[in-house]
Amino acid sequence: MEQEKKKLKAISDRIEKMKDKHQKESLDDASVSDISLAFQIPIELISGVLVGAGIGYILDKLFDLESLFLITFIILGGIAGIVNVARMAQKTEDEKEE
Amino acid sequence: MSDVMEQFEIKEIFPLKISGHDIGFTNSSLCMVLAAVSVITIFALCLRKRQLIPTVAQCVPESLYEFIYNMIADNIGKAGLKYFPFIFTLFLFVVTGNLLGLFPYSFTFTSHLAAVGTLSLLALAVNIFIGIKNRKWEYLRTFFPKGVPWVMAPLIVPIEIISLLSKPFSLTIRLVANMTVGHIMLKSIAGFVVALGLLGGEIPLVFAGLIIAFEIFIGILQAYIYTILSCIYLGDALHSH
Repeated sequence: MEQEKKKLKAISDRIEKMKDKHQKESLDDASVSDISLAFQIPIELISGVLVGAGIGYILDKLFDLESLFLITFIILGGIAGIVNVARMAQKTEDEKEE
Repeated sequence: MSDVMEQFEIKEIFPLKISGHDIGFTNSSLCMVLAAVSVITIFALCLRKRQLIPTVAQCVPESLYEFIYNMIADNIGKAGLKYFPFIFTLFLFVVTGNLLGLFPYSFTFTSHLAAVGTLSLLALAVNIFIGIKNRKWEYLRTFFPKGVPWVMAPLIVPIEIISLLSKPFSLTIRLVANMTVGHIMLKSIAGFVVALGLLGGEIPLVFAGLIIAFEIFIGILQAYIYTILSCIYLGDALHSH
């Protein structure tokens, strides 16, 4: 009886150890996606401005204007980039809290 | 030393023009076909003998399948598993394109804005289609989230439209920039080997070898990031913010 209990204890210890190890590994995964998030942020900011500039340029051509839409949409694109980054940051924050 | 940008030049193999449009078969198209064919061949060979207890060869497609399955389940949820074929194809196409480009004399089609941009625009079209199909008119809420006062509409709507359109753009820039930079670096360092010759040419040779290993890693990582971000954007289309 005593021996069996010892055996069970040893097995449960091993399971706990494996679980700890697994958790550590999943934490490492999280840091990889953090790095990818860090690289994504500048690209997100730039692409917002570029897409805004593109839309503004097309609208200017369409309405035969000098650069009213171009200026407006570059500013709006910058804001959109910041909104995108804020949303991404919020999402990662939410996931970490879960 | 040869020109480092030469490797990105598109050369026509079979020139073909239909009513002024150039639709010739180029080295870029050849590599795309090669990528598709090699994926199909590898999968067909590995899954020739299907067993309950998989052999090593059978493990390759199965682990890839599970990898993407888990990615979709984590990022979109169970509802996203319907779109598994699309995401899986996207991942395999980009990853084989990245890796095929590392072979000598081949061509990296993922380093071209036109190729990756079209792929991203296709992903955007699928996103919008799935969003409208699942949420009907509610999809328009993407451009005007709940709880925003009506006065803000002229500001919020353009911002949301730009932020939707910038998604495929950022995906494309990231992949293209990574692949282009890696290949330029590889070519210029390989050029040093030739320029230095036997006197000290060994140092850049070792370095070039290391960069190839690093490029394999980057190619897989970038394909992974491209796919996971497509997953996240698809998830955004399915659920509201």
